[in-house]
Amino acid sequence: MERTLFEHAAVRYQNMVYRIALHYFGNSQDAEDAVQEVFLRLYTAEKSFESPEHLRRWLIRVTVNVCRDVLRSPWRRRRVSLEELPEEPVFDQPEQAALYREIMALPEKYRTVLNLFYYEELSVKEIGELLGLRTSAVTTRLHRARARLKEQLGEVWQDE
Amino acid sequence: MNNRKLYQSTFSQVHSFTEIRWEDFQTMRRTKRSAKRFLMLAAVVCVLAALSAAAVATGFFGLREALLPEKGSVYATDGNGIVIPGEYEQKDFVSLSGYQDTPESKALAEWQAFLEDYDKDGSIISAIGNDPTGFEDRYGLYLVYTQEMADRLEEIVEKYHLRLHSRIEDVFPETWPVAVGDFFEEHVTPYSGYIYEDGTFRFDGDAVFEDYGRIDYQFSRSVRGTFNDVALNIGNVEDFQEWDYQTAKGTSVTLGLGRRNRSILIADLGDSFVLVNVLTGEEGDDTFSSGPIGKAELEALADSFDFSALAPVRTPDLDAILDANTRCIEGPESQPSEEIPEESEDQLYIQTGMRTETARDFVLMLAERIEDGRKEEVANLLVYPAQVEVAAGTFTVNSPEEFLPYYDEVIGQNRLALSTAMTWEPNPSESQIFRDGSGLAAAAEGAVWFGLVEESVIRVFTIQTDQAAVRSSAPPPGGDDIYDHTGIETDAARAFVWDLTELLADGEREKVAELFVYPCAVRVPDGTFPVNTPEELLEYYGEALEDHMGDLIPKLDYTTLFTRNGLVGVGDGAAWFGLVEDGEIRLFSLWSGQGLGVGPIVSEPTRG
Repeated sequence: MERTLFEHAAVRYQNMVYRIALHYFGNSQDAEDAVQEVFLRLYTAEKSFESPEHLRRWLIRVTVNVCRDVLRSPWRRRRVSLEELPEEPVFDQPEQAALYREIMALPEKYRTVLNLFYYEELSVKEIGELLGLRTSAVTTRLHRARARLKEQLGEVWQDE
Repeated sequence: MNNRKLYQSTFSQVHSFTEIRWEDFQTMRRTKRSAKRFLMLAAVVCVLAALSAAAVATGFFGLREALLPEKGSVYATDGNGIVIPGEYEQKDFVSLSGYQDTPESKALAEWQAFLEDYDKDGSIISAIGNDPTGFEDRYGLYLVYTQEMADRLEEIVEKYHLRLHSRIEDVFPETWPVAVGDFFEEHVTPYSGYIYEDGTFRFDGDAVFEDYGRIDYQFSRSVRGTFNDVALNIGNVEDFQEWDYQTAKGTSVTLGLGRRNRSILIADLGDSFVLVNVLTGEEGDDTFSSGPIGKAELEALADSFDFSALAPVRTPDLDAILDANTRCIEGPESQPSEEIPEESEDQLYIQTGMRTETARDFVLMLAERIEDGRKEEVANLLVYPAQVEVAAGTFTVNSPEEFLPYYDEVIGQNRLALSTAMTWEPNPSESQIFRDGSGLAAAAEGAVWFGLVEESVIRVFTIQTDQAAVRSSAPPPGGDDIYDHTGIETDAARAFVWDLTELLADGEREKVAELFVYPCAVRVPDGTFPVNTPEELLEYYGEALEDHMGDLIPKLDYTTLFTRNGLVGVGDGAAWFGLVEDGEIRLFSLWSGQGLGVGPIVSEPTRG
């Protein structure tokens, strides 16, 4: 990995990697660890990247894989408690804080799909390919998550 | 503001505070597990550090008998479920391995008590850092990173006559019947999970009932005789209404209807212990299920499983499970269909019998196994016999076992580069998975070639890097069309084109000139001229070839080989090559875009 590109990637995509990991784990500590791991993989990547979009998608892919590896880890498996939720950042608007709270209260499988769809603007097909899910499963998760958000957030979350 | 804008405006305010600096990575040694181990240890310490001495009264049947003797501490939350920093709550934990008077649960209690006092501040694990501990082989499935921990664990398992888990494998949703039998009704869906060597397994799943909706659950079956270090936080045992119930299939179970998002189902099957963590309760919301449940719904969920099918425990065939997983990835779509899709639909399918989606899934699976160093699984995917080309020479291997000694040199040392190249994009498209007319498909820019074998499953024919390679000696599916017509094996033809493009790009004029068949004719802007030796050709090399390299090299795509008149053509005929009398491959022609280049003598040459 060439240094200039690496540093550019860190500036431009570090928060993206963090967001994906935060949605996956639901806690900032594991998400920060994933950030380190993903950029270590970028550092050791021996390829050049054809375009910023190639780099972005490669990072998304690697981040999902890193998160999945950690969740599969036997060290992780001992934590079967579902109660732990992350500390909450400070937001500009109360509805943003409410949305964050509701998103983080969802199970991981819904959080990750929501983030990839709404924030990273990936298509349902692309999300399915990333997560190893059928398109119908992605759609179902999106549907359930939206319904949950609508119920909890009322007017803040619009009907789709 | 629409939902997407709201979402983006919200999470754009979430930032990573990790400092990513090039210099740090330059000095960092790469290992995979230790960073996780440290964080996971922190999490475990967090749960266990404040174990209270408040023993829970025992003597009741059911859920209380599965409780660990001491409560555990978890993060405190407010009424909205948000963590209150620095505050902890005491919760009841149950063993997943059996009631508290069983050897398995007694061992778990002792192990947790040991962990409570061991390395509380994490200083030992911090000192170990990223180095391997040497305990991975025997204790890789447990939290052991010092000799003291290993000794204590050995002492506990010996005291209670237990074994340690030695192997774990993922189980895909469709593979559960292969793994443990078909023990659930049609309305029950198991998701992916994992299984140990003794038959202990866990998975998440859901069950959908017509008159209620969906109930999510986590299913755990622990086989007696093996130490299992997992405990489940159930909140407060006083919140559960318990009763015995006989399922529709005749198994006696204990049901515990909880208040919010937790209820419990326990089945003691003799040689194993089942605990189902049901993710809703009397006051449950729809976070994990369709809403609150009552006794009837919990009993209906219990009726959804045939627990008797899980007893007695059968030792799982983990290799068969892996094969079944592989078949799931390949999927029914890998079976050649009688109905051939339109050409525009899937060219890969037409040429290889593999749909693009299936091939992509296979590549991603292979990349993951290579990256994880799952040597035996990767070796099992190769087609045998195969030629292994390593520094010491070329050797024939006839089985995965014979290949494994070469694994590290061929694949292991290039693990990251290979897996990275294979997962170049989130969704490798057809352009990244290409074919060459041989019936095989390629990924990682040609480093990996794979295709269907007789059983209609996908296997790897070639993995090659700059330093080493393993190539199947078996013919690719459908035979080797290029070999049949030219005497040159497809692999050799591809390698020739690959080498040629590198020589051209590197400006190796003399080596390129040596490749031609002489005499030949060189066409330059001034006319066409005969040349009899490489030295003569070099006089025209610049005009004929070098000045047009930008046009020429892209045409030499080794995925576009075809044959005619005993020669191999590349792309639109930019190059033709074939076997000559000494058995070597030689160039018969090489044309740039302007009609300039080198070819056979076809007319009386003139010199201007």
